[in-house]
Amino acid sequence: MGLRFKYNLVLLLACLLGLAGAAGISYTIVQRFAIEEIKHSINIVHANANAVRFHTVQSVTPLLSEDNDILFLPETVASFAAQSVFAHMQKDFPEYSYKEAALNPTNPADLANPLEASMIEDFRADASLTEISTVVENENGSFLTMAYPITITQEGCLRCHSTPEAAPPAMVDLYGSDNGFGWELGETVGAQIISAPMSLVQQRTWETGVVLIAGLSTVFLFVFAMTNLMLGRIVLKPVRQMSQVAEQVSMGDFSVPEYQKPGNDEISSLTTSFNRMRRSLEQAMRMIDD
Amino acid sequence: MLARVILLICGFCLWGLSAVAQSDRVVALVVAGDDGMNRADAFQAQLQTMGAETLRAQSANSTQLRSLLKRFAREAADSRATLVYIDLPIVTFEGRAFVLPTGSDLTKATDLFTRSIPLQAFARSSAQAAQGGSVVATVAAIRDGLPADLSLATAAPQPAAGSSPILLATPDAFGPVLDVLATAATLDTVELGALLNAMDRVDGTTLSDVQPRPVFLKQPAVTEGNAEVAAVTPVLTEDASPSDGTQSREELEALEQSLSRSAKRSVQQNLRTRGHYRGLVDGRFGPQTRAAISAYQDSRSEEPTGILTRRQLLDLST
Ligand code: HEC
Repeated sequence: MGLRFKYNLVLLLACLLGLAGAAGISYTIVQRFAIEEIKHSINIVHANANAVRFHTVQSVTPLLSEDNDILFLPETVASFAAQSVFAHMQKDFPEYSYKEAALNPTNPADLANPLEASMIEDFRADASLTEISTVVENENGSFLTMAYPITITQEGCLRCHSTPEAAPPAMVDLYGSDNGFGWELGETVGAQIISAPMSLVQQRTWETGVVLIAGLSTVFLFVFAMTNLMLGRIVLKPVRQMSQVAEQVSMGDFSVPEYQKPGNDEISSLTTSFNRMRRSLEQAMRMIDD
Repeated sequence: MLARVILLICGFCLWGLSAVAQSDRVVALVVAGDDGMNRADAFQAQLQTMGAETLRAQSANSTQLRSLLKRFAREAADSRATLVYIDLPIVTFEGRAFVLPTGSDLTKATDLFTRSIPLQAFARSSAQAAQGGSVVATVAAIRDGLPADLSLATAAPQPAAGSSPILLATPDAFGPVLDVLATAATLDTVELGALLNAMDRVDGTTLSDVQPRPVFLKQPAVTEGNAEVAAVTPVLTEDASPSDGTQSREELEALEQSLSRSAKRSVQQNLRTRGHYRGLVDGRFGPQTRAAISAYQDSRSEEPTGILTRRQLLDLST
């Protein structure tokens, strides 16, 4: 096993260890950042939905609810507006979803599924909870789902959600008198459920991993090439020449020229010492011959 | 049940109130999809023969139709009587009937809430007329399939407070129904309840309860006043029965909702004359009317509930 081989073997092992360590650390960091980024995009969707809700309650409902005793316009309902606006946004972001789920919804399409219902129950149990996030796996991949509680804080909501008798008659014509009533002030009746695909996390991790490993590998390759070159020039070549000279000298052939490596590193001083030893040996041999 | 009958009788009598501020227009809304165009044209022609002003919507989409319906409701509020003819698919979901405008494709049942119009909305807008009105609908065939839970309507829905009667007919029944209308159009006096009952005798039609008060699509010019005075009399005897004191709030609310728009106007006018009401005499009972009713009840040393009892209603009609 040559020196170069041993050296390269050790270097390779060190490289692999370094790459594995770097990949591991970058994976956790990148994952954390990617999840933060998804949460941020979910927050934007949430803020947008709340803005639509606010705008509807402030500007649209008062404008159009005058004739609610004849024909009810769902467009005047904040919840409907938020969900319809999102439906348009979804054309550009098909993997995102927004739902206002309720345990006893006015529109049966808003009925909470078991997962949503359990999150709503969590909110109902702990009023201080403002959001819950969880990762959901389904056939389309994995999704980060965040829930925000919907609590009845305004008296005005009860006009339509307390009893069928109190609700605008035309709303009951449309939605019926069975669902979405009996809500109470201060009650958490549902949640805004927003989910975004986790594929972003995987993609980010993969991209960063590839770049990191490719970069580190290039560096290591360069290190390999340079150290091997230097190893040859500084150590291996002089040592090989010295050992050739020593071989001939040991056979009694003093005709070979001396080899002196220039410079003042350890190998150079070794050649100097060796040459001095050879000269001493040559003298001693000559004295024996005399 | 007895209470209901009493309410109906009472409602009938209160028709007498409709003399105040009455417009003489009869307005009609005719709505059809692609399939029902010819039927709607024929129906519209008969209504026009009768002297009705007609508003026509041909193959309107959901938004257009809703906008038109609101416009019709405003016109209806300024008319004596109304008739709505609908020739579109009508589906039922959880017992409620929905009209599908042209181009409303449904992928799930709950799409109905935004892409269709409750049949009751038409009945409510036609009830805005001073005397009232009704809806006649031909349930047109549906082209594409329907989502689960939905089916074409086969029977007229139960009447709701504040809405007018609805007659539902199959496309096959249209011919005979039109004949009934054509016959009526030749007469001098056309009373809507009688007309609907005649239409209801055709095979393939169903009719929700007809309102107790008469509604004239066509009416001889004079002689109205005498009939009203006579109409109020039986109520007074009815009123003498002990049931008045025991009427529940729900029953009184139902009675109030059964009043025609012009009857409500007349109540407001009377409250105004007595100095309790200063709001708009528009036939809508809002907070001002409630306050006026309470003030009126207070002035009679009766409980100020904001909802008129039968007795008070009658007193306000004289
Ligand atoms: C004018 C009547 C009206 C008022 C006022 C109203 N809502 Fe609604 N709400 C509705 C209708 C109708 C729906 C069903 C909309 C749809 O089809 O998606 C609904 C839906 C909802 C939903 C979605 C779940 C469900 O029931 O389908 C939530 C949550 C909700 N409303 C909360 C509120 C809150 C909170 C307020 C007070 C700020 C409020 N609503 C005020 C009529 C009303």
